[in-house]
Amino acid sequence: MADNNASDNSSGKGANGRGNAAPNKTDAASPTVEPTVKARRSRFLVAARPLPGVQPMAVDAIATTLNNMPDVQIIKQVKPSGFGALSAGGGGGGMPEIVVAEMDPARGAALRASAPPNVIVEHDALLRHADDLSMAFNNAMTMQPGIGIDVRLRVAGANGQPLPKATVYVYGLGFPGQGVTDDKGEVTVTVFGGPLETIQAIYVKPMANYWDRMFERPALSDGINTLQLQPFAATFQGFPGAPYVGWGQQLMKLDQIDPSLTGQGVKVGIIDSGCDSSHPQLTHVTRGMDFTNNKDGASWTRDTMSHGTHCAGIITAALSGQMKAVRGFAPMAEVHALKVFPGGRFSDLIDALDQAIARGLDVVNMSLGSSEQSELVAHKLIEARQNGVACIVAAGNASGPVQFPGNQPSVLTVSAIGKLGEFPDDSYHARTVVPNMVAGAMFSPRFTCFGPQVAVAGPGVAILSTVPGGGYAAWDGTSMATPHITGMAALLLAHHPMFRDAAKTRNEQRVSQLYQLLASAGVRYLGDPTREGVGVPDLQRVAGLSAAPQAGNMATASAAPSLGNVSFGVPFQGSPFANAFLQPQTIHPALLQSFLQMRNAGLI
Amino acid sequence: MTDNLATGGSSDEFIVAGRSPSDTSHLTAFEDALKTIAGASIVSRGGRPDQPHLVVNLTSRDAEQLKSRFGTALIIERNAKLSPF
Repeated sequence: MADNNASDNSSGKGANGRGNAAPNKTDAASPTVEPTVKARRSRFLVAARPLPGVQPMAVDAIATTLNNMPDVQIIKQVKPSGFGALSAGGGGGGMPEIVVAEMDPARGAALRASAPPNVIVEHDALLRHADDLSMAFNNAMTMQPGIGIDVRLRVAGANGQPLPKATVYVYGLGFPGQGVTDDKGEVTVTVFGGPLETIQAIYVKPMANYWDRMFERPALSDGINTLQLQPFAATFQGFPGAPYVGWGQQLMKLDQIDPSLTGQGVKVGIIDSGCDSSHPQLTHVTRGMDFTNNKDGASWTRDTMSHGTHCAGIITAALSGQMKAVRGFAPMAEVHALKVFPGGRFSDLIDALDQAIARGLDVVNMSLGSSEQSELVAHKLIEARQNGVACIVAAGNASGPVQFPGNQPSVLTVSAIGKLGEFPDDSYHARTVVPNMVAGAMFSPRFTCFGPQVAVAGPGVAILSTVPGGGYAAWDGTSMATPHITGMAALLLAHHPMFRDAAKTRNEQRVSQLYQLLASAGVRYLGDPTREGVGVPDLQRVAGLSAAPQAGNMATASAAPSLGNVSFGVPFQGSPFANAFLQPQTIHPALLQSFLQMRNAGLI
Repeated sequence: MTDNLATGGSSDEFIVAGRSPSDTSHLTAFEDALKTIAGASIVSRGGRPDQPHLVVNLTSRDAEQLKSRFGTALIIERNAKLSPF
């Protein structure tokens, strides 16, 4: 029986205690609570398959074989009768005797895959009454008739402590049920459509400081079922007091540049859901405006969605006392939280961009978008660029073409990339992996939008950052990828010689140079430019930044640097993207510039 | 125009601005036209002083009619909701 104890099976694959999801061995001896919810075992039917010219396997032999498997339990043997010649493979023997056995679904699948031709192994599927068949025909999730079933759940941490405010989703045959745990960590979720045995999965999204977890085919009882989550502290040693650099920041080499590069002197806007500046790592964020509240100058600090606070942490989280769990790219940048969520519309985005222009912001993070287009927003983005405001925009999470405004040529569009081993196997993060989109340790997550508008990729799976209330959460999305690029852009604007002196003038040329500089540092991991653009920018590949650390852009200008070269990483052997992969090479800067101009013009 | 909620479907937010931002006369004319439409209303006035825009409540049918009338001078588009990614 598979044990769904988080401390047993939710480890990542990596071995680096700093930046991946491998459990922290120093915490292995800490007391744990045995969760009551295990993976539900499945029933399988095993029988001889009558084949012409082949001796059927005796049912005793089948039963003996199954009995010898410690993880298989025989429930009963069924001897069909009365079918006679009408049975499949009819004839003298009639239907073969069937062994009904319970085992882990994975064990059953393995048995089925390895069964000899004269043995049938199949799932003993739950029967549904005829009304349920409508779902199979219209392919729509319909509310199942019948009485709601209350699923009583308790969410607990590693030591059994209750975890309040965790959001719990219960997936049955109909619409999923949802609830939030109370102070005791308890919640009752009502689902419709069938008994407890029909619950397909339970997903628990904690408020903060724990990995989320997906419980598949949970064995539930009528009483309280305990669901246990794994704390970040079990993965990251010393969390949150020990300095931690996220896997994305490591990938972009933030931990390898001079610590004096802090983004000081650059103004960064975050158009999002606000920013909880009471978070110990974000107390330096003191400017903002709330477009959901008549442009109020104070309520931007109330982030009810946590989204903006999460993005802010990636960009600018600063070390503060005992809180060092996130290293932001530009902790000394001047950050402006322009709140448009919840409820934001195109008109709010236009107002926020107007404010970005008026405040002279250098770079704006836009982890947002719409499935609709707006001519007015498109015009405003062009105006922002002409005024020297670089808009870094998320591609979208719809698994399809890049969404608006990421599809506009005036912005720099960011897709998401993930890394294996940076999250527990039973977390929702693992669901973002598509097997045929893995290249080495890197992968293109299933949600990311793609297309020729993608300029660069950013780390966007299992990204640990700040959330309101002083905690931390690991989230997925192009929303999380984008602030990595925004943060790096802030560093370049603050410290790269290209943007000193006269080049500090906020104009379109400066935005173009910034985009080119980011692109020139790209490292491709997948080989598919529609999913990663020129790749993930690497700070160490930016000429003039890492070689000679600067104290800020107020320093004396040195010789203008070159644009550098686009570099390509080495692909994973056997990568599905191998055909599209460009061999390691350099591109002449003039060609690169033409390429970028054509991309920005939407020609390629 | 005599459209109303019953015949034109449910109302939605639209954003209206001049194609030539400095020319506000068309926006004024639009406002006048809006007063004749039952159920239509101005939600807010926004934009910079030199680039004013209106956010209005309209049915889709009314919006289409106004587009056919003002479309060469004004941009009239749905004020769609944004989503955090």
